[in-house]
Amino acid sequence: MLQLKLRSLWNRRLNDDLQDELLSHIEEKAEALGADGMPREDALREARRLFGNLTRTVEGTRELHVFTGIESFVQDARYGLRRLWRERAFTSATMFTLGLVIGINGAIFSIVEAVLLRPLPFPQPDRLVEIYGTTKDSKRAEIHLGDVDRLGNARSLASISAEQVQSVALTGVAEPGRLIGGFVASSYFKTLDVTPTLGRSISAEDEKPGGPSICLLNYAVWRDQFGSDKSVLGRSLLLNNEAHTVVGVLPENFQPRYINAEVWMPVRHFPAYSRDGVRTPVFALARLAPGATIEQARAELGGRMRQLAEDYPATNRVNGVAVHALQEIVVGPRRIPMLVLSAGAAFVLLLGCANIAGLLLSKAANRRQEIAIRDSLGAGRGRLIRQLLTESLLLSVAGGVAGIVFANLGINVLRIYGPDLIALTEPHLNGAVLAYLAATSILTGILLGLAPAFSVGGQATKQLRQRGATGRRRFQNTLVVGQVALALVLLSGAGLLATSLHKIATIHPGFQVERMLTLEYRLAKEKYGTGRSQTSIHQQILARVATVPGVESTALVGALPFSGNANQILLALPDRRAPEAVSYNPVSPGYFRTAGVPLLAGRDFSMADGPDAQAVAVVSRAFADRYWPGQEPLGRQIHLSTGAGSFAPTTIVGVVGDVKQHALNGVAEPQVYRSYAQDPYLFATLVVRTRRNPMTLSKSVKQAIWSVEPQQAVWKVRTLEFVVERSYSYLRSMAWTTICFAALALLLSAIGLYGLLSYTVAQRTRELGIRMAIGASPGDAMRQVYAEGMTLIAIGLAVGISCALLLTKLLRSQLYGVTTTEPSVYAVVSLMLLMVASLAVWFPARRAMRLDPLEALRQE
Amino acid sequence: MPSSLRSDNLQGTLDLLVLKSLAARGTLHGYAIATHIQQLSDDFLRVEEGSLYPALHRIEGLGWISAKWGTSSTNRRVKLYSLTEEGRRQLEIEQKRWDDLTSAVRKVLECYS
Repeated sequence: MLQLKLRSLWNRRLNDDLQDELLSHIEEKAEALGADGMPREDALREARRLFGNLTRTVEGTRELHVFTGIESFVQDARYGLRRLWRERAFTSATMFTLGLVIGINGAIFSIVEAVLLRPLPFPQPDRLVEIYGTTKDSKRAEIHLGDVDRLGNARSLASISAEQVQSVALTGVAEPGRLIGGFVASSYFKTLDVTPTLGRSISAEDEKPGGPSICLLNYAVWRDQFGSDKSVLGRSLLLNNEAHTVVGVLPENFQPRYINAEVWMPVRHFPAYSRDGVRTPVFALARLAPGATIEQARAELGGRMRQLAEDYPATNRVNGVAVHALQEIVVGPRRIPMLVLSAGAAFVLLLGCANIAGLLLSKAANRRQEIAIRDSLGAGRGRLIRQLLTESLLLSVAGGVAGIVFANLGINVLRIYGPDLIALTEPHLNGAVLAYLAATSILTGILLGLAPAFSVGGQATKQLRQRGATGRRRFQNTLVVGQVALALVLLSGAGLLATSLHKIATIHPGFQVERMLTLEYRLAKEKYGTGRSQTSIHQQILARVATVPGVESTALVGALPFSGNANQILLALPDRRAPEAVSYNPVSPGYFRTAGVPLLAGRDFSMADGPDAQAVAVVSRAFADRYWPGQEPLGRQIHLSTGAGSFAPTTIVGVVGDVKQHALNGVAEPQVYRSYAQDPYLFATLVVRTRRNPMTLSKSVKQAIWSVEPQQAVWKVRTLEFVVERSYSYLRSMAWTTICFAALALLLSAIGLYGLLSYTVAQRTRELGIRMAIGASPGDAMRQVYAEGMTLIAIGLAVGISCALLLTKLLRSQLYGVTTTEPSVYAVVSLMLLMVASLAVWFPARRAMRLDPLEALRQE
Repeated sequence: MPSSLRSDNLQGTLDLLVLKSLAARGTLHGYAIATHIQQLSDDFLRVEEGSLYPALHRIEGLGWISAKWGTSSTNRRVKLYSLTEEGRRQLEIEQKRWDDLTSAVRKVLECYS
């Protein structure tokens, strides 16, 4: 406050000082003139005239002082605000557009920040690595628990811990369900450097066979399912039908994005755990030793694994390791999609800027008169440019504030419609996003201000002197071309992604997706220890579910296609030396009919294919084609592993159509099916073909299961359609986001072109008037305006296509079934843009046609 | 009368002339500096007020000259400028630069005469 007062005092003194000094100059001059005999009055007037523009000299001198710089900024701002307020319609329209495009960038940046830039919530996350085994054909594989233990003393690692994840049945509660179980060594949370927020971590005691059965809960599970009740410690949970005492709750910020486990147990509770450790497949998480690099770890662990493979040739299928930074595993695959979205958003922003620059340009032209007057009244050129910059900055900052609202909206839209893009993170308007918004809007303001400032500043006085000058239209033309080009790039990107989406969505997976309810369950091992008891209870469940009204048919499958589950089995053939691993699935009789997989030859399994009957298998067409191309597969014998190195002869009785197991754009792998009755299994996926909307039956199907087996936990109750569509939902989110960008781009460029070309017509009113006065028909005028507009658009299309050809290379890894140079995509989007653009040109051209030549000539 | 050269056409020339005038005449007000330059150049150099006062205030900001209010020979209250020690040093630098420039230009011109 005091400072302000001082400043204004100082300013007043400076003003008076300067005024006095300059006046004394004039008087001295008058004195000199008077000495030559001129009368005093005339001498004073002459001295004033000779002095020239007093105000400008004052302004020019004053600007050298710092405080006046600030003062004139405040003045500019006040003046600018007054103008913006006076032109409320323009201001709010601009604020809306700027807010929208800045907000879109903010929303996209918020997911970039959350997904790419935010470090994992552990101390020194860059020291954490994930270790996989690699097979002879360098495929990524799990390693044995025993090997993880043997790697424990590696010098490049500070600590290492086994890690595995699998659904766990939660029973003993009102509605049996499941939790995602993480099975880890006691060193796990020490490796991550995470301490439970409540209770304790897993101890070495818990790991020992016969030790206490314990578990830890994730914060979210504790909050949502146990109401944040602290007395949960010591409570017993039935997990996979075994009592586990809750000993700890993990902190709220413990949200490991590389693993989705909800409840944590020692690795010995993993269903596939074997005491010798050899047949327990796990992954490993490790922290690098201080000073050690990831390359050192790779070299050391690689050597160890090769040695282990030599020492234990019978059990070690894995003979190498892959060591990856944990951060990279989480972030790596996200980088390109995020880059694509950021680029798309940036293009929308540029387009919005070009749009508003056009508006400001035509406004600036209207202001020439005003500016010229201010110029002659003593505002320096720099001062005028600063004035324009201040105004555009005010606009863009206002746009930035609106952008915060739009960004927030955008984040919520992405949360709902693009959960894949967000990938288990929580994007929000934090400091980083706000800083980004601020930087973006200030940059936008400078960009917006500079263009008209330079095109106006220099010409102002000249314009006043020679009114009606046609003026240079190069900048306008650049804006037209630029907007068309930007819109085309966005449209091409969206077109390519949309084409990929369409191609993938129309691939037939090999089974009928519609009206299918699926759910998973795992029988209690303690209760159903024998194969016969398992088969019998599965069959009872099937029989009961089949009686539910609305159910057409029902069956079981081990690994439902697209569920992420998959089985493999070792296959030995008489004419092949080494056994091979092939895709394998146990199914119940009637599965093929229920799932809509066509039976091509032979027969389906029947109830007669029991444990004591002949071992039979059904194979897929790809299987038959691979092993017996052109020959009859029916009746042939294959040998399937029964574990522990022994093989059982199995006869092929049927051939079915190929089924995609993982992704629509994947290949259909050769597959062997056996009957659940001949290969009993605790785990099953129930598939139910329904007569109406499958989800409406979920309750009655679950009740049917519980009527046979009370307290049976079931989970992943969902439709097959959901499961299949989820497999390409990332592409869908990407495609729809870019389609939204492209639609906005189309709209913005149409508005922008309309505005710019209308302005051009207005600028050329006089010229067109003269043409019409000397005989050009209104049609000629219209054609001329139209042709010129379309020429610019054609140039824009050409520029846009060349840019798009270059930029869409970035998309390559995201596309399917279409190359980045697909002509039809470019043709369609160009045509679309051309149609919209020609509409935007048509209106101004029509206005040119309706010009009254007399009016036009009088106007200037 | 030969067409006069606007003194701000050559950057820094006005600074040099102002410094030199003050060095020669001691203390001067703005109008006196302008007339001094104009007279010594036989009316060839006419200093425009629009350039002079910004220049004076700028040079003052640089610390080459100092200003104080005093009375002129005509008994008017005027702002008087005088050279500072730093300004004296700067004058030498500016003088040297000017000499270098003119001799360089002369060399080029004489080459073809």
